[in-house]
Amino acid sequence: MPPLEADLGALVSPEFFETTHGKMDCRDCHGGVKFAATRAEAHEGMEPLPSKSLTYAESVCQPCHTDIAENMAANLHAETPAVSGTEDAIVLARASDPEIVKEGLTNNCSTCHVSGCGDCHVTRPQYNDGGFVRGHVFYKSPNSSLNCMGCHGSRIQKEFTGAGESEKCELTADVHWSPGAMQCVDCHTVEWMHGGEPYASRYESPTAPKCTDCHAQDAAFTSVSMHSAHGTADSDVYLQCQVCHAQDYNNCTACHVALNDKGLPFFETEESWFDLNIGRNYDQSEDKPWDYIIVRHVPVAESTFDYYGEGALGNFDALPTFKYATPHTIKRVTRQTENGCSSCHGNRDIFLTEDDLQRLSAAEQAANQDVVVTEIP
Amino acid sequence: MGQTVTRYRRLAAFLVVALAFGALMLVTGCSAEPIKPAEGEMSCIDCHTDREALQASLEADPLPEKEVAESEGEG
Repeated sequence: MPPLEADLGALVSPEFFETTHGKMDCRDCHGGVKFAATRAEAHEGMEPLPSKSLTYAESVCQPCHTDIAENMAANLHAETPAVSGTEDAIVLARASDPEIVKEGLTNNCSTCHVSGCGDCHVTRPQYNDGGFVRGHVFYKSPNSSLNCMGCHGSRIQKEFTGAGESEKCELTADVHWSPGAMQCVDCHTVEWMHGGEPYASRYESPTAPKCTDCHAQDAAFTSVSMHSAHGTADSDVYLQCQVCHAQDYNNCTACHVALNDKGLPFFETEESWFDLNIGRNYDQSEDKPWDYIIVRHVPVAESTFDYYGEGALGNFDALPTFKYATPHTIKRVTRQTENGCSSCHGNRDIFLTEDDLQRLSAAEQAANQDVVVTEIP
Repeated sequence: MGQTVTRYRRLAAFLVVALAFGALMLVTGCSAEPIKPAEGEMSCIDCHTDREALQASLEADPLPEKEVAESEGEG
């Protein structure tokens, strides 16, 4: 998303002064000076991002929005423990030298979290250089395009809006993408966004969105023969909904993180491509009961943290690199359904097979042994 | 006689309230704060609701460029 012009980003609308927050003194939240002759003088002691706080419970929003602020600390947007936590990051399971990996996580990954309540409720995310969305008017529901996709731009935005390209099929926007109507928060609810109970990853939260929240597995659902064959827990072969209803989605490979000569963090990923692979469910559970799932290649490589010390991911095969995914590319008729049963049955191309792993290292092949489909159904 | 006593009581009550208000203003520092800007001064609202003033200010004194390292590929 291109940044907003600086003056527009700071321009307060007349509408703001009609709202509750607009009736307060600017300094109640921002500090600063009441009257000043210069910009520097006016902004002395001023905090442009008053909700920015390492602990939301201490933020300027807390006195009025106590419950939300106190719960927010347990939300994945406040911190990103599964991605960057030096104790909880999923990648640490692959580490033979955790201290090296933790240094990389701290420098390169831990900056990825929201910069306070304002990133969703007042401005564009600071990751996109901020700027008011509605002239400082606070809004309850974040805007999908200006807030959510400000950060979730490379993968989710491309998938959701149909901006990706696949060599195997024409892609269209996800059926749920409707900029003027349905918004991200309709599925990713406030209960999830504002947290409460801590959980290890976004998939572990009890309030994470499920297709069945809206699409009940009722008589109308099972009257579709494909659904009765593969869409319920009673089916002989139970499929994650996306196995049939996802279009191709983004995959990445070989992300390497480092610092430049000024000590600033950067990353390089080798390749991104749109494709779809059905794999075996390597992590079956009550929440993920399916036999087959959609798997996405994640960008981790054995050498991801080599800048900080070679060989730090010595247990690379501890987790698959083709991982459970819930792509935002949903459509009723896809290349897995368009020709009925034969769309999938006998169609080697849509399954993750040993052949697909041949170009990978021995460690990565070993990492995906529980995912590959050895016999095409 | 009765009317004079009532008048004194009202005056005393008024003085007590006025004194309490004055003390409150003094303690909170409100009394020391100017209500209107001096000549050449602006309030937060004066500048942040005037796009031309913001543009002029940013043109005269641009915001510092945020220094970030260039990354390659999709993050």
